[in-house]
Amino acid sequence: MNLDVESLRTFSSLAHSGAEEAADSLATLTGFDSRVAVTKVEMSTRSDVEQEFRERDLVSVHIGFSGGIDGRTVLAFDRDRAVSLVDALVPGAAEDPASDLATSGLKELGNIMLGGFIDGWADFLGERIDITTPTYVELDADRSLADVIDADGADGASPDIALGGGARKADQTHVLAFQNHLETVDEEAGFYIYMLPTRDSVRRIVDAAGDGDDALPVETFTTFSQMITEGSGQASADLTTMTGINTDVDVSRLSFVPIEGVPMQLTDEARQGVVLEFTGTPSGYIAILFDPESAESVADALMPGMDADPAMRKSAIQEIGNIVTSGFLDGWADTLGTTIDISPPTYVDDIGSAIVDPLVTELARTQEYAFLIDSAIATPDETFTCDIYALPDEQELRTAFERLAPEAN
Amino acid sequence: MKVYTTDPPTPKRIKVGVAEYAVGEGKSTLVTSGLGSCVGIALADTDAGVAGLAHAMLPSSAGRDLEAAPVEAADDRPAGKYVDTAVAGLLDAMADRGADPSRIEARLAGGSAMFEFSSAGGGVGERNVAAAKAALEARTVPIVATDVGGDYGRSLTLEVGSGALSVRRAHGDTRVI
Repeated sequence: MNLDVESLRTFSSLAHSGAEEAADSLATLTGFDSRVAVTKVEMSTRSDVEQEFRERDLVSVHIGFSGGIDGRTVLAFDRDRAVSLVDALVPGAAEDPASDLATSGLKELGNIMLGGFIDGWADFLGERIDITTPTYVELDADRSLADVIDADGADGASPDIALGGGARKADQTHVLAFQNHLETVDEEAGFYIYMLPTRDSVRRIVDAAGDGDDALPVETFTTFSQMITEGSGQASADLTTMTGINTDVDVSRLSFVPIEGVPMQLTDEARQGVVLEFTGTPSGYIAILFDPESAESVADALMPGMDADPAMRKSAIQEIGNIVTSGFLDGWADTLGTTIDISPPTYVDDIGSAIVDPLVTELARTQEYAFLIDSAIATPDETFTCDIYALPDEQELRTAFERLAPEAN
Repeated sequence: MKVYTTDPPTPKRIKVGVAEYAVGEGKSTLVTSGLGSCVGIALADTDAGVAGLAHAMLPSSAGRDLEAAPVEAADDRPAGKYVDTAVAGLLDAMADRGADPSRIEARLAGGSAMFEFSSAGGGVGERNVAAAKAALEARTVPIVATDVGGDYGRSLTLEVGSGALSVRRAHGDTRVI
């Protein structure tokens, strides 16, 4: 199966308009205004998607679809939001959020919103798509998406929705997921619509939407995604060596997103760290960011027992940025058989979304969509978290994908 | 005559995303976060109680591959990615909500130069500000205050009633223009 950037754009645009339909349905049903903040096409593993759910304390409604295309959709709400929505739909339900009344209200909401979401795809394909009865899924720990992704693989091998690497552990299997973040007009809280088409269905949509000349085997994306995971692993190992504090890779994701959606991955909160430019195939930008507490902890770890002044802390953060960037990117050059040069780090201490804004603006001059790579490295004891955002040039990344393609074949 | 009759009882906070613009009325506020090289364009007709805020990324839509990404999104969610189309769209949307173009005043914030990249054509922040000034001048909208340039990010809150624009930097330093 091949996948191309034109298909990804079509996917992104269909998912976005589907999510707008869903937001309209929600407003009609509950009087609750929302808007689609970001639509992402994620090429990630099941465990990464589940990680997102855990981070945000989401509850969810799952619905299957079949016909023109097959797969599963998930409507996930912030827990508090779910309660208030259900109360608007079924007055009194909020008094006992775990009751059948409340969960059946949520299922009904899922039915209507996800139905609206899927309709757009049916129109695009000119084929009928039916949806199944909704199931309510409380997100407890690790298996929240098991029924979605492992639907056809009782042994956990998930042969159907997975994009490749079938022999890998189920939670490490790559999937193509469409993630739509909806938020209220006046606040950040919101909900998410995920759509996970089967492998066959991805092929069907690509056939309808794609540009054959441009297409690359889907395994290329999987290989690249694995390369990113390995880069995150190396960065984590280097960070552990440097600070003497054990770290793990929490998240490592590759997604395809409208370029203006990238800064919205970050908030108004202050972040400290470094920004670097890399040149080669591909070139692009990378930001290594810490929240203020994490920055302090990581600088302390680097200079134990020292009464460091701000200049020393700044230089410690720059050094960490260097190490993390090189751990993260060095493997790319090896895998791609290319050279990637990294600029000296520029220290930043600013509004998170504003740090990423100039990087995105540079890329926006030549591209409408971006491949966003985001990883999080954290210590198990929450001493610090290090967020990595990498934005390769789209055209050059495609060239890099082409280099990966023969290997994937 | 009361121009706006549907104000909500509580002040409304309207979020403007990157590459978007929005119009508010009455006691509402418009907010946008994380301007780096992007420019924030705040327009207000305080007599009518109508104001608008845009968060534009690039100076001009000219020469862009518009087919790939239409500048105008859905009707209720107009895109404001480019300064020229954002200014035009914002002024039209405000006029639709009862603003008198001859009374509209502008405030600009953002357009900083946070990093020096080796790639050609830098200075997008500066060019965004210049494009905003040119677009407003072309429509004879006076610019009454600016907080532009520098090497830091900004987040904005526009009070529709007064037209006052709060410019917040990291760690809470705020300036009202």
